[in-house]
Amino acid sequence: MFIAELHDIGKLVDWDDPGLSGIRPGSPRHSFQNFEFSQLGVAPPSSPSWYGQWSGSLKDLRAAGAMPSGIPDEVKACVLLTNIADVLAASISRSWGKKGNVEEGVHLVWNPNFYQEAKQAGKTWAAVRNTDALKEMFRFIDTCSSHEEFLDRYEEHLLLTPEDKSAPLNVIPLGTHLDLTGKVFRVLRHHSKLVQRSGRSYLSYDGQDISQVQEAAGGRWNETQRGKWVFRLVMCAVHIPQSIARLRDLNVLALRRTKIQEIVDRARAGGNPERQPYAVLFHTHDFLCLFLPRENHLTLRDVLRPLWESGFWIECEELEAELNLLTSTGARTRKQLMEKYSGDAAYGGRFLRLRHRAVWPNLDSSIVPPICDLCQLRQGREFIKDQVREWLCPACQAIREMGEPASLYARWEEEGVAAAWLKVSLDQKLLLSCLHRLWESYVDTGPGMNALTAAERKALKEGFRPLAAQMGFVKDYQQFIAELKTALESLTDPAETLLLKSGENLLFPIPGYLELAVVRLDSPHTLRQILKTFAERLRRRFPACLDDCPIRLSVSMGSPKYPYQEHWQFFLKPQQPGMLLYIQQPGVRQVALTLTQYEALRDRLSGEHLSHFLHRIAAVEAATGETTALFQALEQRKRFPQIHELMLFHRLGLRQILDFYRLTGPGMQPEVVHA
Amino acid sequence: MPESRPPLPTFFHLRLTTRAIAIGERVKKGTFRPCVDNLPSSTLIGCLREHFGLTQAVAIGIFRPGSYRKETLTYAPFDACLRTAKVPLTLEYLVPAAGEREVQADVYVVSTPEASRVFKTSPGYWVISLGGMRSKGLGESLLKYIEETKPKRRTGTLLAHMRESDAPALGIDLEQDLIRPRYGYLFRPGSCRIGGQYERALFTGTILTGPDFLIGEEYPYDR
Repeated sequence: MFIAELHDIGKLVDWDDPGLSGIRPGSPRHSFQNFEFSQLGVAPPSSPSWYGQWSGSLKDLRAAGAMPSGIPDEVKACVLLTNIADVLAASISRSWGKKGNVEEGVHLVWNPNFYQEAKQAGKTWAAVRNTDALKEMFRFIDTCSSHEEFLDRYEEHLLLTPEDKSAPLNVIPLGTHLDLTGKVFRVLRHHSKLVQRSGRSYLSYDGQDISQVQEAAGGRWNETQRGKWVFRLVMCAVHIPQSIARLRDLNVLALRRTKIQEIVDRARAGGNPERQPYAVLFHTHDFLCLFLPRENHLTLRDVLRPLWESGFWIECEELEAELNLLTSTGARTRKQLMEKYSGDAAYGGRFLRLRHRAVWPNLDSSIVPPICDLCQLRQGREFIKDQVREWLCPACQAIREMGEPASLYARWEEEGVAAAWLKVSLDQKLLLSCLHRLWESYVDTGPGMNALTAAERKALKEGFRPLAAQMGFVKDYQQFIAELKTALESLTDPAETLLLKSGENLLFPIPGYLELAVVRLDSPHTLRQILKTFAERLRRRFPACLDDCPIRLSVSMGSPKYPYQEHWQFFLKPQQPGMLLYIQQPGVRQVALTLTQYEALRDRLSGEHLSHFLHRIAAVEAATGETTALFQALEQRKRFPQIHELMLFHRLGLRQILDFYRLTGPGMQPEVVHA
Repeated sequence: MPESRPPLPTFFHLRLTTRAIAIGERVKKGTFRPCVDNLPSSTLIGCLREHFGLTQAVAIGIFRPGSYRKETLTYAPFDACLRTAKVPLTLEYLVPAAGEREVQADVYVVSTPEASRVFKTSPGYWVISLGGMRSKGLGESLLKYIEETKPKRRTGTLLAHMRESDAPALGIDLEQDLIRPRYGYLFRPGSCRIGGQYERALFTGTILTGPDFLIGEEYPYDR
C-alpha cells in the first residue's frame, strides 16, 4: 500500500544533532532519495510508500531517470499524485521560491509561543536524533500499515515540526500539512486511472490525460498555465430547521453530530485504504469542508445524503477550479483573477467557478394543515403529553424519542435556582479573515522580514492560501473546548470547594458535544469564574488573535422554566468582529463585549463602595433613563474614576457597564425570570 | 442574463405607511413572537383580497430600511372560556425609527386589468389593516399609489418572503432564476376563506434573479 503521508517523514530528522554526527544526509536534506544506506549498514526500505521520497523530483510520469529503474507505473502514478496533492496542500511554500531564516519549531500565527512552551515542557520537534532512531524510521516505512498509524506514532513531533522550516513559511505544522496532503491524494487516486496511449503512460481523470504535475494542477493565480484537472472545495454550514421547544428537542444536536460523523466515515469506507471518493478535510459540529471531484463524478447531494435525509439543510460555498486555484478563500482568488484578467470573463483560459448552493431535504410543494410545530417543513400529527397538544412530523417525533438529555435540569426548576446556558462557537468566515490578518502581520514583523522588499512582501501576502491553517486552527479549537470543560470542572470557590461537578450542577446535555453546557447558578461567584476561565484559556491558546478571534462564548441565563428556544436563538445570532462574550437574561438585558472590555470590567468593577454606587446608578438608570444616570456617574468621577475610565479608554457605554454589573456583579445574582 | 428573456411585468408601486405593525414570523413554542421586516406575498395577497376584492392580484412588499425599529409588547392573552389569563407573550412589532413619523414600506402589485381598476382610480390612497394584533390597532395603514414601474432584473438576496406559486407572476422563472433557496412555508387560504394549505415559499436570504426592487445584496458569483 502507498501511504502518501510518509513522503515527508525525513523532515522529522534533526541532522544537526550530535547523535547523527558522521552521517551524511541526502539531498535535499529532508528526503532520502540520495541517501547512502551503507553509512548505517542497512538496506533501503522497499515498500511502495518508500518511493514517496521521490515525490519532490518526479515532475513527469514519463521522465527517464527521475526515479530508480524498475518501479511499477502504478507506484510512479502514486508518487506523481502525491506531488500534485502536496502542491494543493501547501499554504505558501510553493508560491514563494525564496527561503528565509531557518527557525526552530513551528510558528503558529495565532499562538506564537506554542513551540517555546512545548520546548520548555521538554518536548522537541525532532523525532530522529540518533542512528538507532533513524534505522527504526526506515523499518517503520516498510512496516507502516496505514496513515493513521504514522500520524499517531509521530503525533507530538508532527505538531512541533513545521512543513517548511524557514520563516515566514514555518507556520503550518507538518502533521496538518500531511493530513491534508494524504486526504487529497486518496481522492485523486480514487478518481484517476493509469492509461496507455500510443505506448505512453498517462493519468486520466474526467477525460483529461496528464503526465506532469503542472499539467494537472495548473499554475497559481498569478501564473498562466491552465490546469487540466478540476476538483471542488466545498464549505458546508449545516443548519437545523427545528425550534427547541422541549429539552428532548436538543437531541437534534446529537443527530447532527452523528450524521456529520457518518459523512466523515463514509469517505473512508471504500475497502481500499489507498483511495476514497471524497474527503472531509476538517469538520466541526455544524460545519464540513469537503474535497470532491466534479459533479458528474459524485454529486454533492449524494455526499450530504445522511444530513438532508435526517431533515437538516446545508448552505454551501462551492469552489470548482483547477487544483492549484483551490483555496478556502475562493472569493479572494476569484477577485484576484478578475483583476488580473480585467474584462475577460474567461480569465485568460483559467478555470474557476464560485457558487453558493443549498442542499435541502425533499420538501412537498404544499402541506395540508397542521404543519409540524417544530420544523415547519412537514405535516404534523397530533401528540398530547402532559395535557399539552402538539403537532409533530415523524422526523421531529423521532428526535424526541432519542432520549432525555440533561434530565437533571428539569429538577432545578423545582429548586427555584437560576441556570446559565453556555455555548462556545467558532465562526468560519471570521476565522478566514483572522488568519489572513495574522499572516500579513507575520510577514510584516516576523524574523528577518525587514530584509524583504515591498514587492516580496506583497507577493507573500497575496500568495497565502489558508486551507491548512484553517484545518490547524479547527484542531486547536477542538482541543480548546475540551480543555475548557476540564477547567470548568476544576473551578473552586474562595474556600477551595469545587464549584462545578459534571452531572450535578454542570451538565453537557449532549454527550461529546462540548460546545453546549448548562450550569446551575448556585452562587454569583460561579458565572464570574466561568467567564474568567474562558478568557484565561482563550488568552493562553489564541493569544495573537484576541482582537478578532472567531471564537465566542454566549451565556444565556434564566429560570430553568424559560423557553429553550430563546436561549438557542441567542446562540444563533451572528458574531460581530471582535466581540467574544455575549451575555443575556432573555427579555431583560444583553451585553456583548470584546475580551479587553470584559477584562477591564472584571478588574475595575470591584470594591464595596463602588458596589453601592453602582447599585444606586443602576436604580437611577432604571427609574429615569441613561442620561440622568450618566450625569450622576460623571459627577462622581473623582470618587469613582473607574466608570469614567471604562467609558473613556474602553469605549464602553454606561448601559453596557451597568448591564454587565447587573448580570455578573457581586450580590447581583441574575433574577429568576419566568416565562 | 441573456437578452432574449421576456421583459418583467409592469408593477404598481404603492407606499404603505403605518404607526405600528406586526407581521408575525411563524415561530411557535416560544413566548417571544418575532416579526419579519417585509410584507410576504401571502400577507399582501390576502389583504388585497379582503380590502379590494382582488382575487387574482399578486403583490409583495419591503419595509424601507431606516424608517422603522423593532419594539416589543408583553401581554397576557385571555382565555374567554376559562376566564383566565394565559402565559404572557412578548410580541415584536415595528414602530417608526427615531426621527421618523411613520414606518414606510414599498408595495408592488403586478399590473393587471383587475388591479388597474382599483389602483388607477381615485382617490389614490386607501386605509387598510394587515398583520397581527389588529384588534389592538396595530397594522392600520395608509396605502398610497405612487407610479407604474417597469423593473429590471438583478441577481442577489431576496428581500421578502414569497410563495413559489407567486413567483411566475412576479416574472421569476424558478428553473432558471433560483440559485440558493431558503425554504419555508406560507399559508394560502382556501376559496371562501375556509381551510387552506401551506405552500412552499422562498424566504429572505434566498439568492435568485428577479425584479430589482426585490433584491438586496448583489450576488457576484457564478451559477
